[in-house]
Amino acid sequence: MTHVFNIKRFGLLLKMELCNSRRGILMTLIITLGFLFFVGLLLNPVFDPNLAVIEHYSGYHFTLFLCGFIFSSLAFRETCDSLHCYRYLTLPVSSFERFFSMWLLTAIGWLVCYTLIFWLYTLFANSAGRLVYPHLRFEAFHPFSASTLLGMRLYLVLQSIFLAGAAHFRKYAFPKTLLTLVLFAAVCGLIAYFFMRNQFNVQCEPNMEHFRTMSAYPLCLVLREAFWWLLAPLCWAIAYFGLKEQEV
Amino acid sequence: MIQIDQLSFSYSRKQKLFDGLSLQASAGNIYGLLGRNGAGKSSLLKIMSGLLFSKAGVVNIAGFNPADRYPDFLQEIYLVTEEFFLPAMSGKQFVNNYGAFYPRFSRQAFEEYLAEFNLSQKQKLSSLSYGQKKIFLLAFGLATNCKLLLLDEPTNGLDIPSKSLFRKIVARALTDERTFIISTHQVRDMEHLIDPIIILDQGKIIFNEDTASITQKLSFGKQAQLNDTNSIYSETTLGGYAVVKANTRGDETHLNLELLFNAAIHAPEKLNDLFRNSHRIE
Repeated sequence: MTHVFNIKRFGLLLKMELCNSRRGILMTLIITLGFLFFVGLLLNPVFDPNLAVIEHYSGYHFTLFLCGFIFSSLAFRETCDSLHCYRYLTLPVSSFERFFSMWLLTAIGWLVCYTLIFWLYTLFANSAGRLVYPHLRFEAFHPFSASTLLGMRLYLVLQSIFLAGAAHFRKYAFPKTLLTLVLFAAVCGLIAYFFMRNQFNVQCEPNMEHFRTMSAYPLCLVLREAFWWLLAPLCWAIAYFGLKEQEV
Repeated sequence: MIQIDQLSFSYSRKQKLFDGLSLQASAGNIYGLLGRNGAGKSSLLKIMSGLLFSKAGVVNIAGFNPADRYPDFLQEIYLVTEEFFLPAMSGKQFVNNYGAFYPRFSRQAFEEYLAEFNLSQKQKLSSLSYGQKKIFLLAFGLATNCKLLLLDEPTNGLDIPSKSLFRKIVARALTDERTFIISTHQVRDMEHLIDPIIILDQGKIIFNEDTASITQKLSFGKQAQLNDTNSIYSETTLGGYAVVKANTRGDETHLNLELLFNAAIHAPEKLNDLFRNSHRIE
């Protein structure tokens, strides 16, 4: 079992990974929150004079996903370059510990830390915003609201795809993963269209009722459950084995 | 310590780098791994350290298959590559971060090695020269007290005093439990350090003998004319010929690694016959 996981060794690895990536995380947080504050909050009412309410949920989800996916794509960046790879792969830790440390940092760690920091940011941003724009209503950000929790759940599933991409693509993991997703979606769309073209071609009505009824089909239900419960474990397995089979 | 049997490895399907390579190495020695450019010295070190996976054959290092990359195995090896990257942190931070992964890492020994090379732990690693970085990694590798230390061209980039110091420190760090493998082209830097000598050519180990056996069976000399039919290999040199001959008279001779290497590459059959026959007689 110590070949796979040892808590002391894992603690050392986690500490080392945190130490190595702390500057990047700090810079990302400063840039993201600075951008949200100056562009999303202070300049938004200038560009949109009809704006009456400032809410933070869209900004939270967008930045949580974007930065999280970029971080996840950089998770195994040492394997991209042979000079970094020597030290990374010969470090006395198991492949599982390498994978698990990165999953913990980029999935759970990023999710919890970013949500907490974002919540603190909204407290400050709302107070500052009220001083600048007293006529606007600033909505509080609730980290445990249904929308936030759904976003977190979605992040945990989608993030696994980027972690798998990071373990498999040696360079430009983020754009390559995105491209793969686009190609995969296009292929799935074509297949779905081929089998369900009769339903698609019934009428081009502008309401969504037709698609709502389609989502009740057994295949759609299976796919939805597979998305929530199978996709992430599958991607974790791909990431783990990708890392285990990595050579210089 | 090292048992490699019928190893096959290739980077591409068309051309095999190693085909049926076998090698045994025991603890308590500093092996010199010599070979031409592209012979596969670095690849062999990478296979031994689990960075590359063999296509066929058995590789056993200290009881482990390197390809498994078990932490217990990785604790017992340290590879210093010719080209490397050191993170932008102080030497002390590096030791704090990485030293803890090696259970027998000796901070005291590490500090002593650095002091001998006039290096400070407080310096930023990114501000060091190539040679100083290499010294830092060598000192770290030696201080891990791992069983197998793999050094790829360790003296490249070192100044003359550092090369001499390197030899002293490496010789001092060797114990009965440890094995060092030094892959190098700089044979003159290693002449009094490495023993046994392993020569790799065309995907095979063509020579693997210890110094005592080499000097007992071969004599290295210089002569004005090539009139000796006993010569195994000769090459022109200033004012005559450098010659490798069978040591038929049992003379004590100074090992010339460069000449031995050239003989092994250009006259492998003659050299092999000599060693095989004498092994049979023994």
